[in-house]
Amino acid sequence: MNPLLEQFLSEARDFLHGIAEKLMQLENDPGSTPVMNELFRLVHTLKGNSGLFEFPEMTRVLHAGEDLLDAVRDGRVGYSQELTDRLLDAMDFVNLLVDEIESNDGAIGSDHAQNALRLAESLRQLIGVTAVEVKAPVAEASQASSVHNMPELPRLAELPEQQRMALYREALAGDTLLFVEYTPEQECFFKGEDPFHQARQIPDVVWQSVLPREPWSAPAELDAYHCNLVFNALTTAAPEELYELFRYTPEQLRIVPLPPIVLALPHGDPNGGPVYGDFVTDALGRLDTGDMAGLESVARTMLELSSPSLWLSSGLRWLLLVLELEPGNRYAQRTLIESLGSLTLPVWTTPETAVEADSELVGERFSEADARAFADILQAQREILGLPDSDAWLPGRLNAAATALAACQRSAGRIEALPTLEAALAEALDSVEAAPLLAWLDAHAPLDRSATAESEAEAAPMQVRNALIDVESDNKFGRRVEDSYVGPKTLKVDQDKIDNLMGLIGEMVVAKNSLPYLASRAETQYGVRELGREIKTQYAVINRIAEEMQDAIMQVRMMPVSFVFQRFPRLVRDTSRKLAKEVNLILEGENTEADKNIVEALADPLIHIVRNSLDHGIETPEVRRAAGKPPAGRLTIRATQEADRVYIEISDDGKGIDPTIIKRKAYEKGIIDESTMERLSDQEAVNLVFAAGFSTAEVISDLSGRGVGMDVVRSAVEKVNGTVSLESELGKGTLIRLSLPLSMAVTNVMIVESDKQIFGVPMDMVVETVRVSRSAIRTIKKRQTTVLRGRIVPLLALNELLAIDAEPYANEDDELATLVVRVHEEHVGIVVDDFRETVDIILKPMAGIIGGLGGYSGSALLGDGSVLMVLNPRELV
Amino acid sequence: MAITYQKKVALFQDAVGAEEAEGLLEWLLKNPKSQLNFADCRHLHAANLQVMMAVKPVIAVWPKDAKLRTWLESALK
Repeated sequence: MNPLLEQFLSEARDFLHGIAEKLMQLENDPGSTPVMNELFRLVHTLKGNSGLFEFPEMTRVLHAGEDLLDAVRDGRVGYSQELTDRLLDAMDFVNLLVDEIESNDGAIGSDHAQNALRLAESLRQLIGVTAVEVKAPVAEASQASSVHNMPELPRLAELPEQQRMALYREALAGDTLLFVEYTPEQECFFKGEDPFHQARQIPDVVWQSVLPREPWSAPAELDAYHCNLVFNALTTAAPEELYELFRYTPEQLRIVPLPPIVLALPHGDPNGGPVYGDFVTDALGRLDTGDMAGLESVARTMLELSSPSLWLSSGLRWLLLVLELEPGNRYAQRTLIESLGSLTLPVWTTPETAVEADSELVGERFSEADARAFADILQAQREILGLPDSDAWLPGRLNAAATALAACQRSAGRIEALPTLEAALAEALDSVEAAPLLAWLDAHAPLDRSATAESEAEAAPMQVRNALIDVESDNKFGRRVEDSYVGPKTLKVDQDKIDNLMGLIGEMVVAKNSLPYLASRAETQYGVRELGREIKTQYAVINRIAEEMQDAIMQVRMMPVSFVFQRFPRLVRDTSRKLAKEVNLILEGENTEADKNIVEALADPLIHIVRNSLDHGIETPEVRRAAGKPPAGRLTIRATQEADRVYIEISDDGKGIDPTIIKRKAYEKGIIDESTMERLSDQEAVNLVFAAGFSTAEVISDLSGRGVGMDVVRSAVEKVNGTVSLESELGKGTLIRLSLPLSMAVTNVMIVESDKQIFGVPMDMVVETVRVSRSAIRTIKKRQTTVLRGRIVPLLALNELLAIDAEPYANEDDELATLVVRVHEEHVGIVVDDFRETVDIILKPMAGIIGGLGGYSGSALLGDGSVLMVLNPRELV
Repeated sequence: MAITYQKKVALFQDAVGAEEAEGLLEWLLKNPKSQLNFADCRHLHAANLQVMMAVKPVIAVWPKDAKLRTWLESALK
């Protein structure tokens, strides 16, 4: 799983948590605008983030939620309990997806598409209608569709009978037959979609048609780019395959499973209808008495006597096939025989009723489950009929209910009731009310006890809808977030808290440092040697734990340098584009980690250096070609870690820095004098770019090499105890190397004493400690110097630097304690009174009024509780 | 690649994109007795399909690709 996705998941959980919280707040205070705005912002952001990945299901639901909230925010939709419920449902779903993405290695199964669609729709339904009106139409619409969702049956008769029979066999053997209706959006061409291509991808198509959505307008007025197509297909593919295929547009897809029997459509020459009347009566009689063998033999005889091209023969062939493959399906057999008599195509009713009709034929032989299902069906019809009469749905509803009831009666073998049902339906349609059908229902199928109990439980239409949804929805879905709380793997912690923790650990380190003092006191002052030794043993243990704690907290603060690196591709691209140069940026070692402060401190200097490289280092393609280099320049930024330091190298293969020009410029600027100019080596000259006054604008624009604020780069790097070095070869390129500490937290300092005060000096600046005999000190131009290891070292008294009015203190041999430190690559001797030990300290930068004080880099607490001021020799000297 | 318009026949080649639909409609309106040749056609964008469904031109040659042919026939016959 890539880091981006990981971050998304962790954020998504936060967002979901926030959304749930805001929804709860909104429940208590529905009118609150700030809460609403915050809620909208959360959903909006989460949606946007989800769009970065291939999670159409998630985006769809969130998008619907966003639209809904937008409507609520604008006051177009009122707040309601229902709204909160549906949003919470939607968010539970999103949460489920997040879980799945995490456990499933970054992918969502396509089986969620339907749930996503349903949820999105349920959210959208709330838009545009007020909250109060919502319930009834929803319930009705879903009920009506649950009974009445049979498509216009495709013109299946177009398929050759052979093929249909083969399909029928296959379908009965387990291949489901699906009717697919794909209605692309009218504006889909502008979204780069090709519905025809999409439709062609539907697998295992056995029949297809393309129809206009609305009648074609006159060709001259046709808008070629306004999609007016509907694709229909009959396929034996698995529904999952289809959902996967239409994953991004599930709302444009309708899939209806067809019972195999719909394929049974006789065709042929309808010649000589009434002649077969006897056969039909005979066959129906045999069917009623259950004489299947007899029925089969008369059908076979009849078939042999008829010409194969006749309608009748085709119907008989189907009848025989159905008898062979579905001997229990009396409904289908009856319908087929009846159609032979009437010479009309059998009308196969809705899948539901057909399925219902599949159950065993007479009431007495119903299994318990069947009886229950039967009662449920009747109960559902009763409820549908019980809905308010006054709306446009009524005739459709009446027809649907009547069809369902008729099918029930047929399958229960109560054919005698059918004419009265039809009469009741006609009466109901005439008077536009459901009462006659209800009356019929009461007369022919009075409520039995179990059904009554059920009906009380499911009295409200709303609940019926819920029941329907529950059945179809995956059992995984619908659980609440709280049911399965998964603790987040990452914590977001305020940096202050970490800093606080670090401060405490620092104090712990300091406190632990007081133990050796205690041990020596026990030994020397109280003369208890044993105790002193034991304290030292304990100290070793505490010391180890403290160091581990320190390491651990350092790890928390560590962050990869990629945090800074990630902005470079864009920066390089834009800058090189502007300069008309071609540059390949190579980033290496982005995973190298360093303390957060260090990484952040790196950002500005690095940008400076990279800009310089692009501007002054890398040449234009023409110049490069002339110099025999590839036209595209190479800029490498590499991070590596060695021991406790991080190295960052920025190298380019540009024209490098010309030391003679640098020397001349430095001389003109008065940074060096003439003799220095003669003496400087090329390497030293190149390093002049770091000199302070070297970075004024005129100089840079004239310069062939770098110089833009390189002193700024150096001071920024030095602020975090880092160093910069630069190597350049004329015509070959430049390499800048930054060396930085891994972390700034612990500093190793040497304690020195001067005028009875102690000061700390960072160890990484200390070159050596020597005692210089007063006789070895020479005064050159009023400055004291001495020669150490063949090198002239200027001497400065610390007392003088700190304006302490006291002479340096010499020992018995008249030697002065001299601390040699490295400042800007030069050695300087600082004369102090005495040296003490080195200690690890937590350096605290100076804040407040003393923050502006130069010469100090900070303060620290010592083991005995005293404060140590840590000097910054760079500023001091 | 696209549609080549000859005197009385429009040749569909390879995959025909959406941008052709407008031109096809114009050409069909201008040459009502023309014919379409799909012999070398692999695919055509739905926009072209609906233009043909609306204008109902004569198809001279159906595509070689059997599946495409079935789809086209179901739409245009």
